[in-house]
Amino acid sequence: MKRFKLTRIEDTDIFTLANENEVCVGETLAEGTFAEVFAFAQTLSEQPEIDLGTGDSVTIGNGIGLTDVSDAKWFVLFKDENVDTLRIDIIRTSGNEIYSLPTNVTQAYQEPLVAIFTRVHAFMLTIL
Amino acid sequence: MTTSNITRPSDFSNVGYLQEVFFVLEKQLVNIPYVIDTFGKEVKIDETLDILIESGIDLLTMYFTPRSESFTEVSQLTKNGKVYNQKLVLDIPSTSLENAATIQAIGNNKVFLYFRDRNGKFKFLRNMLMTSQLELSEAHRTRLTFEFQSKLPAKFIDIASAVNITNATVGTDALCSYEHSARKGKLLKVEDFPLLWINDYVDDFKGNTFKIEGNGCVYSGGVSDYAAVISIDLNNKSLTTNFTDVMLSKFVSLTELVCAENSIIVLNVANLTSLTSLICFSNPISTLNISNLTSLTFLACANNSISTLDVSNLTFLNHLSCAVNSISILDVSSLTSLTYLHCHTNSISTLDVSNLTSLTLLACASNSINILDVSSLTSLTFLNCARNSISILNVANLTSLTSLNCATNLINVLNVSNLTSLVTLICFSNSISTLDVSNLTSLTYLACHLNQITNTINSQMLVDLDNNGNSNGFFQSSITGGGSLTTAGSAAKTSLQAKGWNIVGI
Repeated sequence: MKRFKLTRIEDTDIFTLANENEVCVGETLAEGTFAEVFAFAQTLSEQPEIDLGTGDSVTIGNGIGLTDVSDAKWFVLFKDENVDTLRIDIIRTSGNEIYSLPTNVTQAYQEPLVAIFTRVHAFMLTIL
Repeated sequence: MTTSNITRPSDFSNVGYLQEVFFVLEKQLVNIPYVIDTFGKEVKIDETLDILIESGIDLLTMYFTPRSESFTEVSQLTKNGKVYNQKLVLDIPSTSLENAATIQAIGNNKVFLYFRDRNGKFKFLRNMLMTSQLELSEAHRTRLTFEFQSKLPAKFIDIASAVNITNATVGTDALCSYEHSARKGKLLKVEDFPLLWINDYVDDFKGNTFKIEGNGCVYSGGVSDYAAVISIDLNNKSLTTNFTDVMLSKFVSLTELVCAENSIIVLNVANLTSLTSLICFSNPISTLNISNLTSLTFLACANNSISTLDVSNLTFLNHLSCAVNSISILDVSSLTSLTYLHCHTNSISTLDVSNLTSLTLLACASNSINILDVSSLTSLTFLNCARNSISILNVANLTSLTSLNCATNLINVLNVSNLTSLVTLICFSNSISTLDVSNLTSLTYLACHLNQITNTINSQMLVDLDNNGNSNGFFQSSITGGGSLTTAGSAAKTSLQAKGWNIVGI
């Protein structure tokens, strides 16, 4: 059974879902099977103060639109799609500060958090 | 007590069919405390057994019959009188441990009890209510206990432990009247039988009572058994102050005590002077007197309500975790063995760690510290002193550091240029104007916003981080004095993004 982890950079909404062997910055929030880690991640969206985001999904190609983001938005960045080296960043830019996000992505979307969970879940089913 | 071989009494053969008193040894042994791991070894019982008669004996002679059927006299009892509610306890010491284990291991032995009357005639024990147990104790001895009632003036009991104990008839009406015994099948107070309780005898834990399934009696431990216990784990057992007081008063030889996550307000461990490890975090403890526990090497009392903690004499202390309390004074200055000090989230204003050169981890964040001399703590790998009032922090020589968090202090200068092992540097909310990260080749997490860092310095840091070549990092900063990144800085930023970095604030 493949094992994964969910990390978060303190004081930010920068999360990384990764294979447990990947080195990630920040604190580890959860470790376990994908189902376990994903279930924990979903609980984050149930917190009352969370801004889930609105609007349609926007596909980001060639990293365009990932630099100097000044609005509050949710992004999902697929940085490594190999199950053994998996690395998916889930990021909410704060709207108060400028964010420049990773551009070494295979897929990138700006969309509400619920849509991100749906997308990540569907993707994981294809590689597990 | 010595043993000697004697000839089997000639009239023994006239007993005829002896009443076989069976014991469910296997069943009992499943639940005994301190089950040893020598089960399965088939070693014949022989004459080397040294059997002690502990108390309650009203018999003249006791014999132990080995498999060879040649009697071994093990005790010459001097007390005369009738037999009422007696107890026999046979302790087989460690030298015969394997033999003892065999009794239950092969599960096919039989134990016969019979007595010899005043005329020297053997009779089997009839009209008796009996209970028994066989224990394999931590003290490496096997204890075979019998309790019985008889109106007959027994003079002799022969315990023939031959082969084929397969069954047991434990007296369901046993009185359990002998010392240190507990009745099965009924609710017992934990404070009365803590030794049973702590050794997972608990089949039905309800508050401060528990029940041992089955019938009959079980040995509940005497003074020596309590003294033999050196480590107990009472984690998350809904314990209260009174409860722990009663329990701990019995375990006088403890070296390790775990009683975390309970409801203890006062933890009275002052008499447990042998303690080397005390773990009592996550209680509402307000009073913890450990000042005389000079053998302590490990103390974890975080997340309590402790206002005073005197550790000044605990010079063997290696690990001290007292975070999230209300401690205002923490004198650790002489604890030179400390390698781990976790005292964050207290009210500490002075923390002298200058001589604690063995420290590898120091977490003292969220206090009121204004002076922290860590300059000689070259073994430190982790330092978190955030959210204090520190104005000077000399970490220049702490080359083992991998994580440094000094955020939200009053620091003007932070020289990290030689800290080549640093992976994480968090120093936001100070008055720092420059940071040299050019040699920090392992750095992947840098949060230095809300300082006095200009666009030029920020640009240089971006260049340095890019040159260091690490991927998937995080850099948060802010620009003081306006302006934007230099061309080189902007290029480095783009390069870092392409390496998977998140960059915030610039």
